[in-house]
Amino acid sequence: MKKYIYFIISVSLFILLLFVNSELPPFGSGENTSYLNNYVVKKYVDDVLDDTGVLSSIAAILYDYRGFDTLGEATVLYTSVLAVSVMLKNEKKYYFRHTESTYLKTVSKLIFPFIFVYGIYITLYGHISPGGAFSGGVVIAAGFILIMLSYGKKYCEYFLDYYRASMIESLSMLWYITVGLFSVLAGYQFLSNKIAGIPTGVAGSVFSGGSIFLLNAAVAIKVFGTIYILFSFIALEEVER
Amino acid sequence: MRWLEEAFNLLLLVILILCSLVVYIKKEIISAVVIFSIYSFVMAIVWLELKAPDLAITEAAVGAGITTILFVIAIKRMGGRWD
Amino acid sequence: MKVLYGILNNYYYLAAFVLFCIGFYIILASPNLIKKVIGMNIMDTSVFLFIVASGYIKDGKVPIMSTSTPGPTVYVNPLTTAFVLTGIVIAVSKTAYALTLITKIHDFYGSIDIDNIYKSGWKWL
Repeated sequence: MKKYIYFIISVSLFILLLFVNSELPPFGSGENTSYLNNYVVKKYVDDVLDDTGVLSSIAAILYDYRGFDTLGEATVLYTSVLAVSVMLKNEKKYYFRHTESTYLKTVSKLIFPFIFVYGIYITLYGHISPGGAFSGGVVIAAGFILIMLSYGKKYCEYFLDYYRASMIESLSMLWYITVGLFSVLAGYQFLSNKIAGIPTGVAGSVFSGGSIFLLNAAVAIKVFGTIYILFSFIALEEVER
Repeated sequence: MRWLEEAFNLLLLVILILCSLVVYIKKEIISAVVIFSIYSFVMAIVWLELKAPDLAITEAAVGAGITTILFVIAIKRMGGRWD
Repeated sequence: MKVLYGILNNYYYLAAFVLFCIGFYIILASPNLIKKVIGMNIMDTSVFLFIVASGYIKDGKVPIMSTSTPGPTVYVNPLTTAFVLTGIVIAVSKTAYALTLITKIHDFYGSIDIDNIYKSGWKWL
């Protein structure tokens, strides 16, 4: 009985959205919030080489034009790690491992350096090609999670335990704020890049973009630390029988 | 060949809707999680069709990789069985 | 008639709305808590699909400039991509938080089915 009520609610919501759909501008034309008639987007696309010195305008929006939003987003990740660690810090659960898979261990040991280097490549080339800090940090964390799942949690905590990972995460956040404070010392707004006199280099090379390069690396380490800590809390400890 | 691209986009959207329906219909949680992984991967191709390659890389790494492992580990922590 | 023209013109928005309603129905009707989290993720991706599709333009290029040939070209809106990029990563952390809450509920009540939790004495909701 309850399910029919829920079904009627969902279908009526869909009919309401159908009438909204007929009032929207057509898909793919220039009438919506596109490059052709939006002043803000036109500025972000046309002046990106003169303003920041990077090629990808998405990286310019994330770390230069709206760098303060990215700081708030990093705070959200920090809060999530805090909430999970408050709930699961003092809780120990074990499970007994039944079989040892040699194939899994060998293949994951072979694959791990390639995943690591690919994540660093995506991060460092994030401002001149598609990619960026978020996907790069996630790919690096995926390599560590592969090691954690195949070799056990204790092996992974031998070289990167909780305290070191949380230290890395907090220091990357501090790094972000410090880079933003450079331009304040020069007498300009928080997180301003080229106006404050930071050298931007040749557009198209790897070490270009001024503070965008540094902030990119900071956010990548931040995302890596967040996902690593989340997995190291939720994954179970393994005990050899 | 314009209609072929449009037909491909429509096919991707239909696969998305079918995947989200199968998630509701399936009784076992672990198969619903696997279907959701396929949903995320098709969504990565949709981002590529919408000219957003950054989103495609991020969705393929996050949605199809990290979220699925997160669900599986959480189910294992609750003592679920899938063998 | 206008509704039919809307369906024919912008099917991307329509797919986003359908996915939103399916995710909403999964959250409401499914008794399993993990399936509710999956439904929440489906609602997330549907909203992202709507935002990115509203910034698309026909024959537009990816908003990455080239230093060699600065010709007059039309670019896709980069602002929506930048918004959604932060949203996807936040969705992961939110999923981890929700799953942690569900494991605590499972430790306390011994079940993740919402009907069994009601039967075992959770009256005030």
